[in-house]
Amino acid sequence: MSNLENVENENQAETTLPANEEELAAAALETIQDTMDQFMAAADVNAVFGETIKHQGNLILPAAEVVSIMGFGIGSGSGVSEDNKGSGSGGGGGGKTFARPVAVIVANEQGVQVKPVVDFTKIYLTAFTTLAFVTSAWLRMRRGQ
Amino acid sequence: MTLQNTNRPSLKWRGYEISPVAQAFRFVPFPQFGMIWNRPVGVRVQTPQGETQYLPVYDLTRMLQIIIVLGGLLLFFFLKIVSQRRSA
Repeated sequence: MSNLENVENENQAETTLPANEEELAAAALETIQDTMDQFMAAADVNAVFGETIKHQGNLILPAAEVVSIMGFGIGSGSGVSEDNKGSGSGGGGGGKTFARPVAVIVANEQGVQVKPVVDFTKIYLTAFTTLAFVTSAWLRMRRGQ
Repeated sequence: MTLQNTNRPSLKWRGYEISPVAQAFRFVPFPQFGMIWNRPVGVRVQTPQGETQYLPVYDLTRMLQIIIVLGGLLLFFFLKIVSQRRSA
């Protein structure tokens, strides 16, 4: 490649890269803003209490626990060598929202009641894990004697 | 780190006024990371007679899980003490 082409390419890179980087940065900021908005929506009271359901003279209001976790990071850098120079930036992030039903609020002619929702699968898993821990610890103690 | 109670606009049903209350725990140690734990804590009810009641919302699943784990730990310590006494 001739020197002239090199200079042309360098000029092109100088003119096109910053605009491209600006677009990328704007898109990244927009994505981060959207993610932050979704994350902050988890703190809203409407995330906990769902839509009301009217059924056979009852008003039903579901209630759930919502946990939202989010994290992201961005970075940039540049480097110069004998032949080339360059710079770059990047970022990434992730998050998760968990929701679990806790109770149902029922309003009818008898009044308003809070009915708990019990997740038996979770309870069985906790019981089996605890039992396994206690049994293995007890067996280890017996072997040690 | 903040703890905030929020009320949903009250619902009216057959003379009852129901106002659900949620509690949000926000933990944002630095701008790149955050956690929100939002849970229902109770319902404020105004009866047609004008009485105001507060009905707490209990997380029965979590309560039972804590009881099982604590029971397991107590059983573990009991077995440990019994085996130590036997070996002594």
